[in-house]
Amino acid sequence: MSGMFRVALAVVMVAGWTFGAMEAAAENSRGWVEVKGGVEATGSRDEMGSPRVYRGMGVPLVVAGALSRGPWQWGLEAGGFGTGFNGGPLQARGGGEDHGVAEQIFVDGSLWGTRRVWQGRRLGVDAGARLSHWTFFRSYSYHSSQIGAVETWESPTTIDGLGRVRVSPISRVHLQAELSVPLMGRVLRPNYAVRGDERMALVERRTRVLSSGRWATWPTLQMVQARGAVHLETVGPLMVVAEWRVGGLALNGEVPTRATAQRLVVGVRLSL
Amino acid sequence: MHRQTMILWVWLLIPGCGAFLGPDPEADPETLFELFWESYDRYYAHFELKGVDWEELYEEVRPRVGPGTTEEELFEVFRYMIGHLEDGHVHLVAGDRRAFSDAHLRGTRRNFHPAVVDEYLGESRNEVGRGQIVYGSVGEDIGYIRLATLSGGYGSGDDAGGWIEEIDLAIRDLSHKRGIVLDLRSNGGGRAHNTRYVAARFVGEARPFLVTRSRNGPGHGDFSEPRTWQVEPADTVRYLGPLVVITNRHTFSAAEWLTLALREYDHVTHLGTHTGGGLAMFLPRELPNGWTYTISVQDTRCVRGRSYERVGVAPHRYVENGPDDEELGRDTILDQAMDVLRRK
Repeated sequence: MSGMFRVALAVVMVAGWTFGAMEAAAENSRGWVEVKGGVEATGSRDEMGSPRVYRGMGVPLVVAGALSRGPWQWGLEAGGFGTGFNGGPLQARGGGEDHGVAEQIFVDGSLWGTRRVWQGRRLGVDAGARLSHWTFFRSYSYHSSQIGAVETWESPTTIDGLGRVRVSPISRVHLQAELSVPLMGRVLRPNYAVRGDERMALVERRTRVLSSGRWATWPTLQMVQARGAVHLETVGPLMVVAEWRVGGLALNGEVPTRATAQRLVVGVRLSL
Repeated sequence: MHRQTMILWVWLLIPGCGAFLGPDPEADPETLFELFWESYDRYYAHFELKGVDWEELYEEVRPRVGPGTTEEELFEVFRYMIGHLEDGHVHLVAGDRRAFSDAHLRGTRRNFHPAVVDEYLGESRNEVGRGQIVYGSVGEDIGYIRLATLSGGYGSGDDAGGWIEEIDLAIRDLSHKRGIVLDLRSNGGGRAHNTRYVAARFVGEARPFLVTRSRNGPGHGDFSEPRTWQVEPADTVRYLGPLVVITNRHTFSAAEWLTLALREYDHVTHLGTHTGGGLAMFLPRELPNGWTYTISVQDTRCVRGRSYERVGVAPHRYVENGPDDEELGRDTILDQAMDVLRRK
């Protein structure tokens, strides 16, 4: 038996064993992990410093995972990006090189739990709750000649109602649509005028990060997150995932602000 | 692909969020005027202190702005409006044009000529801190330190640092002098950290020196709780001998904070002219047409409750340079400071 033949046989045996193991794992699946990457478009309008809309992009890395038992499923997800690391700045529409730039950091994460409430042959419906968090930081510099900046953070942590519809239109293809709306949320929203090392709080009652976050509900806090995903089964427990997620946040009140983040990512899901 | 084009492409590809954010306000003259007026009405901190009736100004100026108002005319209207505030931290930038609120208050620059001071220093002249700190001897027994600015550096709180730390070299070199002149003339200010870093090197005990409150509501008298700023003596390099701080009308902002901090101590004499009179923190803003401007949003007073906005900090001894001082190579303010120290 030639050496080449032995190597080829070994490769085939290992591949076959791996495939079989993965098939078995998929049948007894109790959960999954995902790693995804793509682009995220963010936007903001902060009346504190400018009436203009600022828009930017990042290239986020997102990790997610879930465990299931019977009709129940629990999961978590985290992702984000920052200017100068894996993202660019926000810029005013029509703004030139010389003004209207904001550094940004966008991080979001969630813990969720759902229960299967209906399951047909190709269609399923889940409902549950999500503990969701955003931190969206912007540091605005309106003109290169201006000393100082305006820094704004929105860090809403919300308890959302979550609904999900799952459809499998053809073999090995699974579609999913999800909508979550906060029932209530604690909003930390520091807002500063900045000059060098001096940060002066501008909206005093919302500024102390640990002590003055406020419980807010509609209409003070308006937030929606929606998600659509396509899962394509490939080999064994591996799936290709393509996902679009959009989120909008409006904080109304004395100094209103609006922020959006929409994410288009692709990645892989490994069933456990 | 150009970054702006790429961002626009992604936003068009994934529609929806644009509608949530809404359109930018129109950049017509009337909208710009309303936004400009309202932002000062909401954030400016010194209407009551300065007795400025912003509503009355609206009534006076609003009829001058209509759909056909040109950019030049609108700029002049804005310049006229902020001129009423007489505030060194208020200015407007419109392309190549600049309008300053207090330009008419700054007075002559004759009270400081660095080249003349350099003649006083002669061969003793040294530079540290990236050239922002000039020091040496003026006469045999008197030291001189000039801080050109308080800007620059990094970090905040205990992690702050930067070029200002090299003032320790100057103080070590001058530690044997019978007195030091600290020249803050034409120092436009900068970081609060730099202010406290310098002050800490000339004091023997902690003392409060400033109280600030930020505008935080729609009423012109709505302010946050006061914050008291304090100088803590340095535990490394210090000079506790007689100190004369000299200022002019271009000593501004954080440099005025430093002046107030040092004036809290008996071994410090303040000499020269009034400081610039602009101590407040400011809020940068922009309009839909890209014009940018600043608004003072902080009420800033010494610990005895006195505000120095617009008027500046009055020196213990008022001294001005003569009109022919530069030509004669003379600096009357510096001469007087040296006299004060020689008599101590």
